[in-house]
Amino acid sequence: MTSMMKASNPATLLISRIDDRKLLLVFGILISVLLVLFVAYPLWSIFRMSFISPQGGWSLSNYVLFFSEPRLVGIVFNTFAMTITTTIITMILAYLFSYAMVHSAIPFKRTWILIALSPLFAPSLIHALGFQFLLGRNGLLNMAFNLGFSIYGFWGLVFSNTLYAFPHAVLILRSSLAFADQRIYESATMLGASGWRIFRTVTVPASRYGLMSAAFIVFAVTITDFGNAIIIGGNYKVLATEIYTQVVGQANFNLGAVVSMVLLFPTAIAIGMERWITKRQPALVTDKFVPLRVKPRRAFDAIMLVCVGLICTAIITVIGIVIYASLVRLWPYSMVLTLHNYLEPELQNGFEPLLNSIWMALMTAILGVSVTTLAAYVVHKMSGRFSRILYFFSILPGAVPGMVLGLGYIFVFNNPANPLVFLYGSLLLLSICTSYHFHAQGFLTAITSFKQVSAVFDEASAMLGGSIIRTLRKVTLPIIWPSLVRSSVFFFMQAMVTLSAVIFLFSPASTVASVVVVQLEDFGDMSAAAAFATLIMLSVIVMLTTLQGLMRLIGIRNISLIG
Amino acid sequence: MTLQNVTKRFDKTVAVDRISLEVEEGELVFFLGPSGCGKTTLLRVIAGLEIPDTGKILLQGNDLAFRPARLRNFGMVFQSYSLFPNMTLAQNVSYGLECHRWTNDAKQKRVKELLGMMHLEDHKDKYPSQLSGGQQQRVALARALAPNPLVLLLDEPLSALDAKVRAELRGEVRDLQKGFGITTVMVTHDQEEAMEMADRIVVMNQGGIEQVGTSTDLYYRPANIFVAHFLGKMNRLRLDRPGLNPPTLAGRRLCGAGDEGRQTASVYVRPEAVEILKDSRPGTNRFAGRVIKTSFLGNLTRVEMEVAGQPLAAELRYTGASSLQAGEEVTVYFPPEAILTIVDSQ
Repeated sequence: MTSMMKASNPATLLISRIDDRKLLLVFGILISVLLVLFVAYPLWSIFRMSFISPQGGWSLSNYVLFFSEPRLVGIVFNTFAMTITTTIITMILAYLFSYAMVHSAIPFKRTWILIALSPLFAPSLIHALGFQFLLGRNGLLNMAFNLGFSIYGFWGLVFSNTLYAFPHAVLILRSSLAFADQRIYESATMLGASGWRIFRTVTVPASRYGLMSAAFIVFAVTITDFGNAIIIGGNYKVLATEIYTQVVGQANFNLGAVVSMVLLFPTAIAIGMERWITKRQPALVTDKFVPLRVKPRRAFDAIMLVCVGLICTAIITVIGIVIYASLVRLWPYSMVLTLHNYLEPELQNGFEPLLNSIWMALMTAILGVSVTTLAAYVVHKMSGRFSRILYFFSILPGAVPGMVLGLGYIFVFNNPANPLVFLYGSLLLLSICTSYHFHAQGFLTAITSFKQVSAVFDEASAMLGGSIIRTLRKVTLPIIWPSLVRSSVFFFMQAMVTLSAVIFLFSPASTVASVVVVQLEDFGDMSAAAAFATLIMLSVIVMLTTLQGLMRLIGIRNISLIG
Repeated sequence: MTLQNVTKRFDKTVAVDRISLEVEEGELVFFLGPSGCGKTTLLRVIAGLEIPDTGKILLQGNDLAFRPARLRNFGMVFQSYSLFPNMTLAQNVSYGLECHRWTNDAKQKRVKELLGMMHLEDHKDKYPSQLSGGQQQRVALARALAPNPLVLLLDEPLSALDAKVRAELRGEVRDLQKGFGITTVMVTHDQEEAMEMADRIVVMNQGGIEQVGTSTDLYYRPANIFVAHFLGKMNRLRLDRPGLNPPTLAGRRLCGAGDEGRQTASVYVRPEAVEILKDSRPGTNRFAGRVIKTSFLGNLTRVEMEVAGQPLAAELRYTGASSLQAGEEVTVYFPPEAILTIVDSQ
């Protein structure tokens, strides 16, 4: 035991290293500055702008104007009618689908789920495009059967948004149903309860938290969607499109800010309710949990298979028709199959916007994960009021519609007095905006990962003389990196498909693919629009497969990149 | 190491209440107490994982109370397995050495030495999840000892293990501690563990110290009722009248109790000290009783009786005891030296 003589001297440790608490404070200040600059200040600007009268000075005149204009009040009514209808239909379908996935013995469950989640790979407007190709003025079904039916308006929006919101609801409902405990079902059966009675008294109550939280998410996703509304809304205006009309069409920034506030309010309430419910939800899995074993039941399984099949057919048809449309010469005039739209696109900038999208999405993948992980780390390590305030501002963007955040960025970064004005119109600002638009989701993922890494590891490392940087580098990050990779995939996907957050911020040089789809559709070049939408989907899928392949190659399996 | 007036509050509750204590160099001291008594909090304050509200922690004349944990160079073993799951055993053990900037050669030598001592050399490239609980705690111990800590702190390191491994490790931990001659504080709620291993035991309750002493001190000379009940089993005998000198039980004199003429209402006797006699002749400290229930526990038989209108338990080693029937009249005998008088404010 000679090495025992080499007792280390704590004093040298003291001077040779930076104080952990000071370092944490520096991180905390950095994160605060970023959150103020890219979240709080833009929101404040909108708030302020909505209360500034066109003549200058604080007043309520913008709000008075808004609520005394029947057209604008009608838009509020439209928005709620469409959103609530969509929420009800989506919830019924998603619950049915999730129930079939958990409680029935139907085959090919993995395939069905993959199909159900596939809308996540595409911009929301792909559904509107799909419905247009099927039931629009020149839609396939309309032309074939001469239906004389117009999809534009209320029902078009409801259908498109239902498909768009469906995977969001399924993700929540499926996991809340999956925590069904075999023992409870066995005891219910032993007590003589019928299938329907078990469904009513066991299944539904057990999944009530999931039901409520899914409903609020669907509500928020639908009310804030811009892509579907702009393409298939027709004369049926909603708040999200009205912000665009006011700002881009009429350059009325004050009224645009008021519409933003009116849209922000219900969205924030829905997201706030969702957070509240999620927090109240008791721990889903206890250590004695016995997962459900489904027994095949012929008639029931057959009915479920038909339902699931129909839902998936609808999803595939709508996306499939867009891919098909991208392969015809010029919808609907020349329906010859060709690769013309991909090989010789008649576009101003060619495929540059797609490269812009990919580049922007890669930046977002890195930026989004970095800022959310650092924010989560600071909040996790610190306690007290500062930490709670940071937490609030970190999840606040989750309650802010993309259109609203985007408009806030115009107010802040299109202001010549702002030293950061050089960011305006750059891909970097699109990337920053997207990172902060989805900040809440990334932040919550990261903070959950930090919580899962036992606090004992931190303490063990500190006892052995490790600084927080060393602990993070050698212990924490090596343990949680799979969830960070998943989070960066999430940011990448969102950045590829996002439209609402960037519609106000792009410049000719930084046009991204999702914007081009809207522009082409507006020009009536439907096939080219379809081709661009398909390319976005394809890029996401290629990127995912490549990453999964790379991870396989270095010997990492069993890590699912989505969900 | 000396603790002076250490207090730690969480919001309104006082977890550690003005504790002063001295731990000798190379000593193995136990903090023993029921859950929630503040023993783990006190250990964490010593470790630097909690900052005390008041008080000093003196080591070689320096006050460490506000020095961050990582600058104290104390070793710690946690209750749950705290090995870094992303590192092999060798990497785990050398982690602390890297933090203290040991040279590569010294590091390798030290890791080898410690893993050898724990008989885990063959497993050095395995990951913690590939080991049993007992092996993991051995590695945790090796990791804590590697950087030559000034003090070793053990937070219920054996409580997550099954009984057999636990018994095995008790001896090992004790041998290692003596081998290194390192000042050690160990927390436990298992009185048997404390009595078997400790040089001295600190019995804690509600944030304060009830008594400090060796196992035999605490067992045979408990300072108060809490300690008497916490270590081993104890019968309580209410006397006929408090303060009566000489004290009586059921109208008869009880020798050994209240010799110093203390004003007590009750005396105490351990179940294993109670004797059951075959002959029913009266004599000193002999009382008539009736058997209520017997339970055969293998190495001993527990007999529950009623004596002088009070419940009394005896634990007997001889085999005949299990043949005692409920309702049987017996004579019990209290050896005078086994009667404990405890003056307690409670």
